Amino acid sequence: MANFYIFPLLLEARSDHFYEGNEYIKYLSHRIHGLRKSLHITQRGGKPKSSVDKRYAEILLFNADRAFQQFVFLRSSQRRHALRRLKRADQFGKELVSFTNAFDCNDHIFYLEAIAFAKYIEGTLNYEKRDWEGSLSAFSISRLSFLVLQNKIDTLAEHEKSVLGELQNQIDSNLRYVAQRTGLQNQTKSLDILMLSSIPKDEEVIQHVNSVDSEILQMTGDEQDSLQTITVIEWRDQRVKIEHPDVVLALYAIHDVKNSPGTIDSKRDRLLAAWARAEEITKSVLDNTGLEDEQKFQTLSICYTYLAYNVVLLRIQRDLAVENDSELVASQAQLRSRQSLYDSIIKNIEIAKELPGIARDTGMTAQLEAQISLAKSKRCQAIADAYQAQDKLASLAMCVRAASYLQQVNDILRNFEEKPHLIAFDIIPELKKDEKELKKKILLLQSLASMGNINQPPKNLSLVETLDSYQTLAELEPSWNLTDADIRAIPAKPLFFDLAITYLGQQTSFDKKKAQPEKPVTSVSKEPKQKNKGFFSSLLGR
Amino acid sequence: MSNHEEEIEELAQRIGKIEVGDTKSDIYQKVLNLIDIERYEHALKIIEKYLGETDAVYERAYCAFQLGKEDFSLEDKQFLQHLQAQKAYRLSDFSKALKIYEHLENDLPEQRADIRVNMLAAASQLPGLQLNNAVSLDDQDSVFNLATRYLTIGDWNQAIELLSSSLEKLENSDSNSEDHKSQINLCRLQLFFAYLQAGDNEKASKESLKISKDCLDETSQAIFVNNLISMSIDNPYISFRDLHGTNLEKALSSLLASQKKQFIRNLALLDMAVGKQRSVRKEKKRNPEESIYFSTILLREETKSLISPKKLPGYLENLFKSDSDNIVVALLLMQHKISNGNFRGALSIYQKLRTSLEASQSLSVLYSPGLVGLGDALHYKIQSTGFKSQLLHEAANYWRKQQSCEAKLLLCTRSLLAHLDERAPVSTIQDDMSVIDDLLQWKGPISELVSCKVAALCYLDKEIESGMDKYLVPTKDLITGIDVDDIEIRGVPVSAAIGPIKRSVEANSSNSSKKTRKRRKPTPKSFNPKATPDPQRWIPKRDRTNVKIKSKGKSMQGGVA
Repeated sequence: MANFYIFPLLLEARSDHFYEGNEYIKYLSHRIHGLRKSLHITQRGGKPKSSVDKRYAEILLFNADRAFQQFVFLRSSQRRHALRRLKRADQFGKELVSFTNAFDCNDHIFYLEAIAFAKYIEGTLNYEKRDWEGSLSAFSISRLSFLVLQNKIDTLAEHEKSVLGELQNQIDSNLRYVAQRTGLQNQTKSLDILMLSSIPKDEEVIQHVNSVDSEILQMTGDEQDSLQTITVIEWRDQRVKIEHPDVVLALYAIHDVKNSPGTIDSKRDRLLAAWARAEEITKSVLDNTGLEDEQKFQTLSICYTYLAYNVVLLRIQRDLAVENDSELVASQAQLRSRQSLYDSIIKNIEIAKELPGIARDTGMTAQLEAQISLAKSKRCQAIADAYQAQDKLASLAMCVRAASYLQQVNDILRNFEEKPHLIAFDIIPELKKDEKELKKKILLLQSLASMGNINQPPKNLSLVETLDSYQTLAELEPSWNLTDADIRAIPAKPLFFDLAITYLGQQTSFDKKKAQPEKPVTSVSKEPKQKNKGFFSSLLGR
Repeated sequence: MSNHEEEIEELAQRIGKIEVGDTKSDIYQKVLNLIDIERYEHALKIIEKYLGETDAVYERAYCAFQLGKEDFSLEDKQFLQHLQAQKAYRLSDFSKALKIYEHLENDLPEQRADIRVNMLAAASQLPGLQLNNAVSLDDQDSVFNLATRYLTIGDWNQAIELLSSSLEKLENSDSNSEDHKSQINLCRLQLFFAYLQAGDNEKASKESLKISKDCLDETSQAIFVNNLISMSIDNPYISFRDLHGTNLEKALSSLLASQKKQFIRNLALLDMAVGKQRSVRKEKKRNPEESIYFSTILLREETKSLISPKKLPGYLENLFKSDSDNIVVALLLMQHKISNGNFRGALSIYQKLRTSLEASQSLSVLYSPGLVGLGDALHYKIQSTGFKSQLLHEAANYWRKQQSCEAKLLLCTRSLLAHLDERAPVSTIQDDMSVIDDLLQWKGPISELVSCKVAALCYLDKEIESGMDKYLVPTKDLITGIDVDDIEIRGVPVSAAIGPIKRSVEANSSNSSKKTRKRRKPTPKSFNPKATPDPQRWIPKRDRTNVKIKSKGKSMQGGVA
């Protein structure tokens, strides 16, 4: 990271050494001790306990993080002890902020890093103490700092992205929850507006943010209008408005993830988690809702179908994205991976078909069936690619099966009037593309298999009998007969008619010249033949 | 000359004798009779001597054609096409014959049925050709030719089924003419052959007993005796007598090229069986294209009779050293090494032979399809991973520069397919395609060449003409017998884990070798297995009833003074 100091340390520690249980806490203790030794501040009783070196910030950071992790470790069993550790973490965080401000008041990045972490801990402390106003303010400052720093980060490793993503996600979810607790007006605000409105104007962090990125403070309420539609769900031809607070909160969480900084690929997992959580919350609410309130039940049912469908959709898209990122070399392992992908897609779409409200929806059912057939066709094509090198007939059979699945897709879509949805595949262009490629592949395999079927050398013949035929190892190997010859049977000739002979014997009229008879043979012509006979011929009687 | 030939000659002399007072019509009839007994030269002489130039023009052309003369002229193109088709068929140029008959079929609708029989006869010798028209199963001649085609492509069961049904229909008919009997026996002869090829010698033997030899023509009689000998050759001298009792000269002159070659080989083997090596040597000089075959059987007989089995490899190696470009010696030596499982030794012999043939510029022999296939097979046997058909590509490069021939057709097509499997560059495939185009011009659109071209065009992602797919084997026929559902369920195949199994076996063997065997204690010499053991043998000796313990005496040495 460019010009960053605190975040690399924190991300490195959490990503590389975050072990199970309290092992991370032990690691931090060892590291803090090492830092103290290096700064010569280990002794007590008259010895200095602080240092002006920049590395002292590491000690404060890890002290705060260690205390925070102890809070996380203890909060399920010893709440009061956990709160004391959290308070201690907050104290260390404040000391960190003071140190950064005293070290270099012009290093805004350094200050923002410290304030982001410290305010996150303070917000958690206020959250635990049910101080919603204080928690809202602290989380807002932390989120603002993170947003400013987010624009300054050039590159991150994958594991560092996940750690930072968890922090951001936790801050966003906490902020949304706290906003809900503070009132309905805050609940319907976007996170950005909520964040800016919760930060006091005289806060010191505003000055640092203005120095780094003043535009981020100029966020307006343009996004506020789009928030009104978050709670309005359109599923097929039905439009419902969700009013249940838990479901509304879940929907806002989805929106927050969508609008969070980063690319679609980087926040895909977070988005899927948000959708899955919303589905789970809706299902639990739906289960607790009785049939007395039919309108509410109907609304929640539609919402649940919408959420569950989108979960399946995102899961499929995630699988496709992961598969597309992998190498394109058509190895056996890669083909098995492709097959697994298509199996997963088929399974997910089968789950979507069984969702309430979809089974009776003929249009949606037809689309899903078409998607399943297309996925099966692609699966067969993957199997055909695997068999192409070793068994061309099996490969051809799989291609023919894939073509039959494509025919099923065509049959389903022939009577389909509405525009197909983009589920796993954009079905119409994908269908055209697959049909073209599959036709060519079938023709290629048919020609290759035809070659294998044509002019096969006779079996059980030796090499000297088939020198004019090319025999492969598969044909030579059973016997390896090179020179053993035997009397072979011969088939009868095929029936072949002499059709030219049918033209003979058709003449009925001849020239008028008379036929001359053959002269009689005289005895003189026989004498030269007798003279040519030799002694042995005459002796043998020839 | 045999007696049969003498009788025919006497008959020809009698028929061809022109009497005083014979009219031209009578002479014309005599000419037709001479043509019936295939005395074309005599008939042609009579036509030229006694008939005018405008008389018997078809008969004149027909006799000239049968005698191999090309100086006749005739305006009837269809008659000439018939003659050309017959010539092509006789010379085993079946694709050309088919092409001519395709034109005649459209021009002569009244002869369509007979033309289709002839087309099917030519198609039966072209296994790669797809039959466009459906064959009528009511026409017994077409059914016979279709069964012959199935025999050519190796589909024995289908051929047996067709021939059996045809034979049943023929036997159920009421006709009792000589032609009908001949047709029945010809069908049985083909069924006899089909059973032999299918490996069912019992049914073949039963079918052979039903065949009436006298109802067959001379060529079929020779084939029948040959097939009987191939089934079992108990006494070679009797077999020799039986086969030479038929009209071999007539049979050899009327058989197809491939059948004639096999027949000559069979005759040579039979001569070797009765000890007539001199006849085989004469035949070797007469047929130089079969010299490798004749040399092989001669050398095998020589080594079998002169050399003991132990000295055979040394003898062959000495022969090969002295004459390293001798294919026959090399093949025998390779056969011996392969029989002992020494594939590396066989490959070494092959490479030496290859070097010698290259030095002697015998490239057409070196790059013959059989030798190329053998070399690639040996290389693949030794080096299975990363194997490429190097010899095949070298042979294809050699034949590419030669004139079109069967070897070029066979190897260049295989080389193209190998390049496709190896994912060769586009330029290589395009070069191969140019060779395929040359072969297409020479041979015509046979399935083998069209399949290669279609495969190459698909690989190059180019447009394919609409009429090309009819030359391919139908997809339904190709995937018949394949369990598609099973393949789909199993998915992408996984290679078997051979290594761990071998390692586990080795581990077990190593463990077993480390174990020390416990030595059994030797059996006492007084042990008698038949004797009943003492029932009190495990009771302490002092407590046994059958043991008397000696008591200590009371007397003691030294008394009290």
